[in-house]
Amino acid sequence: MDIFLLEAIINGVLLGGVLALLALGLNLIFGVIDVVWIAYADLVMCGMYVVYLLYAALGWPLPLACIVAVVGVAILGVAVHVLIIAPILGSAPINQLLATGGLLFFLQSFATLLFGTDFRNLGLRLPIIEVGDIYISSARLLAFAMALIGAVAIYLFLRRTFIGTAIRAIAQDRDIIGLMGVDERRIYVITSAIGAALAGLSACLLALQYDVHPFIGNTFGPLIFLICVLGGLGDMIGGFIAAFIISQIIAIGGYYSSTELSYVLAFAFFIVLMFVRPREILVR
Amino acid sequence: MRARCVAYIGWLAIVVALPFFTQPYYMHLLIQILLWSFVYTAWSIMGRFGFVSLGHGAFMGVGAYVPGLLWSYYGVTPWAGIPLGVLVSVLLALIIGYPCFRFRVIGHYFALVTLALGQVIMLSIIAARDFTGGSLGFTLRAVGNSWLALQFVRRPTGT
Repeated sequence: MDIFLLEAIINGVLLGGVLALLALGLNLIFGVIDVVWIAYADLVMCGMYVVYLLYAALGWPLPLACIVAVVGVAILGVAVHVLIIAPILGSAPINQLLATGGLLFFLQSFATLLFGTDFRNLGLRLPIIEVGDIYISSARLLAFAMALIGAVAIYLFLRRTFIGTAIRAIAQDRDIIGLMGVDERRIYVITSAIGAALAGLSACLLALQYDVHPFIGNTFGPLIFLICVLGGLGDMIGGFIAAFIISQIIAIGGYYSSTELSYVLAFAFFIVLMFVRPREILVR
Repeated sequence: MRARCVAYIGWLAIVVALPFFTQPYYMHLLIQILLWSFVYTAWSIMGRFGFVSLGHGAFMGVGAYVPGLLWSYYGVTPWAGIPLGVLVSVLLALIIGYPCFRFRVIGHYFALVTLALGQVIMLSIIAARDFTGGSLGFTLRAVGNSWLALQFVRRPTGT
């Protein structure tokens, strides 16, 4: 096999890890609260700016900056839920979608106002690992490993703890859950916090690889939604598999043609798959 | 009926008269208002049936690029290019819309299919950067004052 193709495939797998983590957070919110957070990718953008601001501008140590970013985005997520989603929880889905759409423009404009449209990076170069003739960026490897750890932690949390069980129960039947002695509103707030914290963690991992700018959410936001839907809403493992399929399409397509065309291919694949197997998804 | 006629004519007169005494910036705003209200109308036609389209930018993009590219590269007048652009975006809508409703892709799923469509069109235009100028966009071939090209040299307006 061609060595560059192999490199593309490996990079695809590494990209898939971060995409899977992002999709996991969105999936949680999507499946449990049943609200489409269009602005999810822009929470990631906010997290990246926090890391940038603390690490590059204020000179904090990187792990501390990352922790602050995760906590900060989680708080932002709770604020989004309490201030925007909770008051319109009972209204038509389109209103919820448009409200978070408004948040998207607000966050993008706000970031533009604060930081301008410049591309900013952390000014941090992690070493490149060389395996035979293949070059792997250790930032990507770290991101992949952290994404896997985060996903396993969330999986265990959902399976092993009482709150996790309540979250899964609410995704199955939100009407009856109140009778089982679970306070829905509290679970919603916790779910928002966890989903947003995952966005914050992804932000830390992405900040190591990509430049930060106010519109970075637009570049991978639609992708995360596709992965969520491909994997099946609320289906964590399906989302994981879908993330790797999409990232492989992008990586291998990018090897044979240009980056844009590989994304076109991924989106076209999604559209066709929606027609071939609407609703019930990919795996199984 | 008559009152309505008078109202329409009065409205038309105001719209026709506005460019003669409006400052360029406010003129720009007025044109934007009309354009966006047009786009909004297109969107709400579907929105009122519960179909949330996140891909209307795709149709707008096709409608903008088809006449623009036809004029700049092939010298096709926008008078023919604009109907052609409309036709192409109608075709695109049919290609995506027919299977959607045939296979009952509705609700959140419809919104996401249109989102993907918007991305497909946008990224295709960027990918064809030799032809379309990519994400930098492209400027129409300017020919000065011409009804054929629907281009008008800016004249001093307002007071």
